[in-house]
Amino acid sequence: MVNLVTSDNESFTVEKAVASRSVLIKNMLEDVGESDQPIPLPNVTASVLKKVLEYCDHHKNEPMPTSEDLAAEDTRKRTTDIGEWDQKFIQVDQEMLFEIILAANYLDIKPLLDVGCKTVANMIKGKTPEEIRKLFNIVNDFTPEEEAQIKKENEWAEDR
Amino acid sequence: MRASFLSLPQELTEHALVQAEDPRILAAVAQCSKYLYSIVYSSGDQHLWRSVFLSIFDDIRGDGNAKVDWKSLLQKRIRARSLLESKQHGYSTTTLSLEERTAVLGTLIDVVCTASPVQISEVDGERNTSKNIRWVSKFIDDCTDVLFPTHSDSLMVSPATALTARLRAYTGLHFEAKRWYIHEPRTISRAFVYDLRNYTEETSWGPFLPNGGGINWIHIDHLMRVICTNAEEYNHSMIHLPTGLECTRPYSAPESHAREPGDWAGVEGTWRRIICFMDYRDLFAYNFRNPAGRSEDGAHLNTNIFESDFFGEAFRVLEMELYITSIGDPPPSPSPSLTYSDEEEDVYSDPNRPTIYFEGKSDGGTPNESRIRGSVTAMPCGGIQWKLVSSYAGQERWCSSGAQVGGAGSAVGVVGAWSSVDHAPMDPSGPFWLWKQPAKPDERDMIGMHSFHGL
Repeated sequence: MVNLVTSDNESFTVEKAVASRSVLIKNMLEDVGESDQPIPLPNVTASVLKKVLEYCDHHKNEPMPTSEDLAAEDTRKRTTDIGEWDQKFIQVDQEMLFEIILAANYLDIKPLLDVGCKTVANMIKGKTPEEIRKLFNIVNDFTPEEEAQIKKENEWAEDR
Repeated sequence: MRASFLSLPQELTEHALVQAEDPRILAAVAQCSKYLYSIVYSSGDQHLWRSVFLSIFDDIRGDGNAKVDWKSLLQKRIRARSLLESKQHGYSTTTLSLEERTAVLGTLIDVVCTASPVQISEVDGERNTSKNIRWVSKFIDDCTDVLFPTHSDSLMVSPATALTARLRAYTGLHFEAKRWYIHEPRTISRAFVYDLRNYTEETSWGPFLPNGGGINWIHIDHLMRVICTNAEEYNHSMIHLPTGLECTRPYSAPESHAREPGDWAGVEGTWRRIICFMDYRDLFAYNFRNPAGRSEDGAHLNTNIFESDFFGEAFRVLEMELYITSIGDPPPSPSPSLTYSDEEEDVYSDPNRPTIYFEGKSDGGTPNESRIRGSVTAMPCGGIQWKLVSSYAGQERWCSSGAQVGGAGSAVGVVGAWSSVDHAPMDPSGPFWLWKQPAKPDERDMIGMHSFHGL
């Protein structure tokens, strides 16, 4: 078992197979060897880690992505399809969604990072700039002149 | 700080944008705010654009480290897609302006020509797929009428004509299948390929533009149509012409994965060859006894002969076995009067694709086996030119001049014209198509005599 301690000082005890979905933790465990020392995770809060561990537990028996998979990043077949369980799992409020993305990035859990980012991509897809601003609470800081200029610059993507 | 879209580090924002596999979200996001604009347009490198490009298209870098402007290339392709999609729906606006057509056709051709070469996995024997071919295929199917208009304006020569012909040649005319028996295009194509004025030294006696101007795709299009319609009409699907976009991919031909180093054109092995010809009396009458039929400017010959119920061409299917004799330098010439090289080969040579010289034998139905010699050369335009000379009983009789349709080692193979080696003024000429066969004989196309009315 592995003992993880969050930024808000909660401690989680989980199976090694679950914790090792995080490449960060996996490397730490390999470096330290067998030890009862708790592993501090100063960038992750308890509510987020709970969610992340739920994901790790569900996927604990799957093969880890190999370094070749990661090297083939550019040509790798991507798909915006997300598995059924993952889809349900990622149905969270926006704040939690971005917390999960940040945590997955910090903990180095590539498949979870992809699920999060794909979800964001799917939220943006097909939306107008105004709709995206509303969705993510983005302030339009362009002057009207700049806006007209930028609209022109983006005509390549316009449906006509 | 609460986590939000804007609180993501830039690399994660980029990662999310790439996951969309839709470049149009880059444009939408860039218009939201100055910060997001800077992520899309002002990054020092083109990492984001490259990643989005590669999520949709094959890598175009090949083995070299060519510098690619991913952003403008992607924008060009997406613009072509938007134009086509806008014409797909809507009843009244199914035509593009000439400028739009030229841009769209040029872009689709570029996407076909940069499709990834076929590779066979050593692990599972699976053939890799091409995102480019999938992308273009969709438009060929959905926008056939926009891309290949049937009405009379398609006959008007414009900058788009050659591009239309080229894309149609790449598709193997498959969308014409239902229209093959429409007389008009077939007659026009026959009229073109059997008009002996279209074969001159300047055009290498084949489907080429004068004076090293590259491949004449209009000529290729006509040659393919004549052969396809003949095959369809006469041979009841005994011959499967290798057509379709997938067959244009580099090294899509059978046995390409087993080719020898240096054989960049996939020369060695067994080939099928279809040769079409007109009864010489018909050919002569069409070309030289046709003064009444000349149009006022003399540009067109009267095509009545092709409309006759008794008209037909013959075609033969032959088998050829080729092997390489030399790469780069021509082999010693069998006789001093016959040389392989001509001017354009002297002027241009691609260091990665030196001219390959080959020999072989041809056999198919005829009692006399013939000897073949020839060469394959990379052209400055990026095309690949094939020349063959066949001799019967020690006499060189016929020569063939053609162009590869698709990349090196494409399954489509070589389309061109045969003519006499002497090129005397009234000597005949006609279409040929040459394509590679599997190594195992029982997997090959049928072979035999296919000569029909008119002979």
